Amino acid sequence: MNKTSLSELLNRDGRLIYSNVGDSMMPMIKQGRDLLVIEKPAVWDKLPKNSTTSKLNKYDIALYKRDGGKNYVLHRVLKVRNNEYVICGDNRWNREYGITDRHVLGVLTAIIRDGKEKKLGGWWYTLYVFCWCSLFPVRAFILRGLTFLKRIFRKS
Amino acid sequence: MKLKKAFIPHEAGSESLLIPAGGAGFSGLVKGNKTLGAILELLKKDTTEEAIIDAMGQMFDAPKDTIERDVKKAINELRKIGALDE
Repeated sequence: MNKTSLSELLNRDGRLIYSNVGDSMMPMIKQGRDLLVIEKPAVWDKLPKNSTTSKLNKYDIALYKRDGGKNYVLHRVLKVRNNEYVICGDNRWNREYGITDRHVLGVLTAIIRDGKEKKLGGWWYTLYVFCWCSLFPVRAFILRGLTFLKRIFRKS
Repeated sequence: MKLKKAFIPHEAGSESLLIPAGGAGFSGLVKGNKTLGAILELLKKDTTEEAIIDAMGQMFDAPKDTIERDVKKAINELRKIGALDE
C-alpha cells in the first residue's frame, strides 16, 4: 500500500481518481457520491513556455492551485482570455480571475458514480453545460439574493 | 470493523484505490493491489480480522500465514488513516 500526493500522481501517471470536498460544483458533482477522473494530457508537457495555445477550453473543468493556496480547486472555465481564465464553480456566482496555465494541474474527463465511469460528453452533458452556463446570470442573481437574505436573517 | 462511509473504494484496472471523501480527516490517496481490493470489498460490511483472513484464504491460493500477515498489515494501515469504524 503506497501513499502518494495528488500532484505527484498526476505528474507521474497523467491520470488520477479522487473525490471532492464542498458543494461548489453541485449539482454535477456531489461530495461523497462521486469520484472524479482528472487527467493531465501529455500534450501539455510539449507546449513551449511562450506558447499562445491555452491548455483549457471554454467549459472545461480545471483542477488548479491558486498562488499561495493550500487546497486544490476544481471549477469550470467560463471564458478563455489571452492571458488568463475566468473560472467559476457551477454552484457559485463569484467569478475568479487571474488563473493561468501555470496554475492548472489537470482537467476533469469523467465522473465515477456507483462504480461506473461516465465520460464527460454526450448529449446529457452538453445539455447540462448549455443550460447551466447559459443561465449563469439568472443563477448568480438568485444566489446573490439568497446570500443577502441569509446575512439579514443572521443579523436580526 | 467496517470501512467508514467517508472512504470510497474503487477498482481501476489492476489497482485498488481507497479515496477519502469530505470529512474523512485524511487527504491523500491509498493505492494497492487486488489483495487490498479484496480486503476493502470485505470491509464494506461489518466484519472481523479473522473473518477477512478466512475469506481471503478461500479467494487466494496462498499460505495462511502469508494471508494473515498481509491482512494485518493492510488493516493496520487503514487504522492509521482512520478509515475504519470499530
